[in-house]
Amino acid sequence: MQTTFFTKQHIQIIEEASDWKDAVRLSLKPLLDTGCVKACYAEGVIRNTLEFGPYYMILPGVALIHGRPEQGAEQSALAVTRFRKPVDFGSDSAPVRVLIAMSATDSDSHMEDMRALSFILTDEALVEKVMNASSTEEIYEVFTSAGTDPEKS
Amino acid sequence: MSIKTVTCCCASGLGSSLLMRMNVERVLTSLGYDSIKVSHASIIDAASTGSDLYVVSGDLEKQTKSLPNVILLNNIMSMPEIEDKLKKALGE
Repeated sequence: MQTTFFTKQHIQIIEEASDWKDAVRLSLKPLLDTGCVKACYAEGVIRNTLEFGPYYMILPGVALIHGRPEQGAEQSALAVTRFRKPVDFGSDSAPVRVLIAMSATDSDSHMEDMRALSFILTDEALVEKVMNASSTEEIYEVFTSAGTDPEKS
Repeated sequence: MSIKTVTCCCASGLGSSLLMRMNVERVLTSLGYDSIKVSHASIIDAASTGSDLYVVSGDLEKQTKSLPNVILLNNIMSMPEIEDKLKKALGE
């Protein structure tokens, strides 16, 4: 992945969140700290969730949270947070163990980074690895070594 | 009917639909359908794309009633499910 989109500083392993709203804010903190989103972005995601339900569940236990660009995205970027204690987002979805937080400034940027993300998320073994990772290095390795077509390798 | 355009839809049109689009593109390429154009959109904008086929996450089923040709996915990250359902839609 491009280093402006995803860096080691964007990975966290956190023990627990007090509730799903806390989880949303915690998972966006690396992007807030690096100036990729404004503080209002997390509040935008929370408001969207209160209105539409958790619209970002992509796999059992994995969420890809994101808001609309105009809700405070400054730069396209990705952060990954593993919660040791799964977070309940309600709505019959499985408790979330990995929260991928994304800021997108438009709907077409960073196609290659999103492609690498799609390779990771369609690979059950890699998803398991991230869900059970004991270090941020392990997660970093998954995210930076993916991106080549598995059928070609 | 020959399918020339496919639109993948999610609630926001930014996150899951883009990933679904990449998965669908990958499957179509592996099946040899290089000329089918795949796009992504929010479910609200779906009908306006006028696509031949729509791929949508199962939880949005209620919002697909007005769309002409829909594939509903239980797991948007399951390549086997996407391949299986696309093959059926393409008449294989």
